[in-house]
Parts: sequence; C-alpha cells; structure tokens
Amino acid sequence: MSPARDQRSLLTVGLPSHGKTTFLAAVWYLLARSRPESNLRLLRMPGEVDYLNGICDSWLRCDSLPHTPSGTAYQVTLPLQTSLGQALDVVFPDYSGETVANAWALRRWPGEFDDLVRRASATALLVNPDFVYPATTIEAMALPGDVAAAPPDPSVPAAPYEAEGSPTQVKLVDFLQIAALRKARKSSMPIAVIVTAWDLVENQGRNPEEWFQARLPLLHQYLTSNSLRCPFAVFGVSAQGGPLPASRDELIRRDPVAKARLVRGNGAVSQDVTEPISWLIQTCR
Amino acid sequence: MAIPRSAGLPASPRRRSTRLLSGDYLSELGSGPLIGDGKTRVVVLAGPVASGKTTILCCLYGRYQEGPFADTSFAGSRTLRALEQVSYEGRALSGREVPTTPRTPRSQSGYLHLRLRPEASGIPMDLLFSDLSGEPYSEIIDRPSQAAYLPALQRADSIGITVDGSLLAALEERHSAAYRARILQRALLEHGGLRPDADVDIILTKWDVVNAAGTDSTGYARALVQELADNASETHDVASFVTCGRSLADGTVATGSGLDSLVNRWCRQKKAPMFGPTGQPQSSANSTDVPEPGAVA
Repeated sequence: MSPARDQRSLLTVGLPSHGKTTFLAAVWYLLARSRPESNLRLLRMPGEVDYLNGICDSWLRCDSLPHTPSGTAYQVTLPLQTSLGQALDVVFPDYSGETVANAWALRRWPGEFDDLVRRASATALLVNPDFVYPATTIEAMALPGDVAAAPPDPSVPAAPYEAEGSPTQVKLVDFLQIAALRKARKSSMPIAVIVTAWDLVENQGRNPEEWFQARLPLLHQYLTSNSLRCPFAVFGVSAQGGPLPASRDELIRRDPVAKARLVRGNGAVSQDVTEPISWLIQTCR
Repeated sequence: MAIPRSAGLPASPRRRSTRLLSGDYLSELGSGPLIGDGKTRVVVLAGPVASGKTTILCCLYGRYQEGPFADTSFAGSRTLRALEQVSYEGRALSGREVPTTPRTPRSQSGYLHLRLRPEASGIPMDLLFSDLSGEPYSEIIDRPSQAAYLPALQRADSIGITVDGSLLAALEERHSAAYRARILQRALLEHGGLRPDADVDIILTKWDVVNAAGTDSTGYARALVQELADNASETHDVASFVTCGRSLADGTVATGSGLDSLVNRWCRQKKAPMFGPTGQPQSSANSTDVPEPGAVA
C-alpha cells in the first residue's frame, strides 16, 4: 500500500465564459500525454475520466467548449508530481461561473462550494479579456461640448441598479475577500491569475503582468496589497491557440501540444500550460 | 452531500446555500472587529444635505478603480456592494447624462469601508466612513444639542465638516450658507462629544463651481474656510481642504482635486500624542492657512 500523499485542493474560479473548462481541458490533455518536459506529471490514471474526456474531445476538435450549466459542478482528483519531485493529489473542482457571479449578486453560494473554498490551498483565477467590463464613468463617455448634439440633460433618470452590471474587477475582488474570510485555516493562499484567450490581447504590446495591471487595476492593487498572505503570479494562456470559430480551420491542423501556449507574467513564452498549476503547488504551504 | 471525489462525476449542489458577507454598509456592531485592531480610523463627514459628503466617497472609490491614488493602494473593502450602489449614478451604465450621487436616505446609519495601503509604511489602514444623511446635520443647526445623539461623532478619529462651495458661489445663498456652516461647526465642537484627539477637517466641496464664479466667490470661500479652521484650532488638530469630487463646471478644475490630500490626512501615522496629561494641546502643528486646491494646510 502506497503511503498517503499530501492533498491540495485547488480552487479554479472565474466568471461565466472566462475559460475555466477550456483551460482544464488543455491541462488534462498535457497531463494525459505524459510529456517529459512538462512541469507536472500524472502519476496514475484516475478511475473515471469521462468528464475530462468529454471536454478534451471538444478542445481537440477546436470546438468552443460548452458553458458549464449553472448549478452543476464537476470535481476531479488527480495524482500529480511536480518537476521538483513533490507528489500530491490535486483536487480540481469545475464549477459553473455563475457561482462567482451569484456570490456577488445574491450573496450566496452552494454549500458544497463553500466546503471547497474553506479547504482550498490555492486559487487559479481565470479572466477572459473579452469579458472584462470596466467602470465607465459618465464623464469618460461625454463628448466635447462642440461635438455633442445637445448639452447633457440632468433630468434623465437612472435605470434601476442591477448588481450584475458592476465592473468585473469589483466582482473578483469581492470573491477573493469572501473566500479569504471563509477559509478554515488562515494560511497563505497563493493565487494564479490566468488571463485566458491571451492571443486576443498579445499584440497590444504588454506582457501579462502589465496587461493585468492596466485592465484590472483595482484587483491588481488588492493582490499587491495582500501579497504577503496571498502571493500571486500572472500568466497568459491561449488554450485554443487562437480565436474560435474564426481560426478553427488553421488550429485543427496543428499538433494540440503546439497550439496551446503560455506566456509568463514577464512575457517569456512556454508551451506548457500546466505551469500555473505547478507554481500554485510549489507556492502553497 | 459532498461532491464525489472521483473524476468525471457531476455533482448537483443539494445542500443549503451559504449566506455570504452582505457587502452592504457596516453597522455599528459589524464595524466592531475592524475598529478593534488598532489600525482603523473612523471618519465622520458632517454637513447638510447635498453638501457633497457621499460624492467625496464615491469619487475616492472611483479613483482606486483606475489605479493607486495619493501614494496609497486599494487593499480591500467590506462594503463593496454599498460602494457600487452609491457610485452607480455616476456611471455610463446608469443611463444618466449628468453624474449624480443619490441622496443618502435618512434611515442609512452605517459605515462605508476602504482598506488602503500607504506606499510609505506598507501597513494597511482601515478607513470607516460614517455616511449619514445630511438631514440630521441640518437639524443640528437648529438644535445644536442634538449633536450629542450621533454616536459616530464620539468614536470619530476625524470629523470632516463639508461646506458646499456651490452655495458660496451664489450671491443670494452665500451668507446663509456661511452662517449655517459656522453654527454646525460650533454645535459639533461644543455638543458632539468629540474626542480631544479627533482631527477636525474643513472640507470645501464643489470648488469647480466656486472657481467658475470668479475671484469674488473664491475669496469669500477661502475666507470662510480660514475662519472655520481658526475657530477649531485651539482645541483640535485642524486642516482645511479645497476639493472637487466631480468637475461639472467649466473644466478648469480637475475631477478629484483635493481628494489626494484628504487621503494622506486620513492615512497618516500620528507621531505623538497631541494632547498632554492636562488635556491641553501640545505644541500645535496646526497651520490653518487655506490651501490651494488639493493641498493640505
């Protein structure tokens, strides 16, 4: 009988359509293929992999992965070994993005999800640049006086406030704060910020760290201010390798290992999209 | 029921959901743990209805949405939902054409919270802002003894008396507005039960309107702020601020002017007790000259 291995629970979270399942599919593919140069190695094939097979099939066909339906959750436990020889079971929950969205809007989340949050050792926070909504002020939208057709009318009433319309970065800060409060042990909680669909923004001349600081400044400040308790790192991941369905014909011809790309916070490029996971494992205590 | 631990099994949540921190205003009770940790500062913004108290907070919160501000970084907030709600009518999403701050309802009695990390010290500071409706302050002007019944005043580390610049810019309003500001200040100082070590800040708001009205108005406003600062300087550490939360006038005054100085004041480390054993002020570091917009006296 093998000795009991250390177990780490990894919280993989993001708002709806921010790419959690696509990222998990790419990670699983690399693990299942057992590439020697990978940062992570799958020690043993789990007993049931039908869910992982399903999402991996879609990823290999370059199909847009289906949105994880609200109210459903999948959990996979993978026995992994890092490049430093550290062996442990890593629990990956794949929860619908509505879980995070509802936490902001409804101030509730499922009891099972609460259990995961409370025992989580590390967090992978996924952000898709296409779905980052800023807090645009009225002043920022105003046209110069000589261009505007008419002066602004102060009597125009406000539409009713809806929490769903709040900026993306506020919802994510709120989530991380609540998760920190709910945690059973107040230990260090590393956070990997994974900017998904990185190919959409990589021609903007910024590395992932710079992009994150510029587009999600409130979240960046929050993480920087709390980095002693929650060390963080930023990664850009292009799990599909390009936009879908526009680039599907080209992407489907590529070797799946070559199509997924990772860009480290400083801009260094790697083909190993498991890097954020190994960074989290090595950083959490 | 726990989620199955084996791979590939969907788990439909069946257990009851968990209620989370509301993110709304902190009550007196809810703010307790923050106040107890020694790095918390209770800031009371006191002024009549529409004098700009909540707008200062909205604009300050808005600044951190864009990046670090006033040599400080955002480090968290227990009242994000409330801050979002009060900021909403300044956002394009609201559909409004002119940014507005909704009037704080009379029933609102809690605190808004910002945790800021000054770059210099690196030590986070919890700021708890009492965001009361202006109505109680309007009543205090008529009945100064009512100031004794505002509990936030007694626990305040900092009282910011807001003076509505737009009223000082209007000839027919200015004398009355100045008169009422003087009465409010005296009521708070003499009936509010302020701690002797509480800072008193005179905050002139809507400087864009004052500035647009010309030198007569700016001179009048500066003289009033100077007078109010002088009035409190014998008993409290006083500073005065000229601010513009949202610039709506001719654009010559920048949005957010003066807020950086306020933040620095609220986040500063007090180096030495300001009051000696007798309760008298120590050598006063007060300078009550009225500053340029954005500067602190």
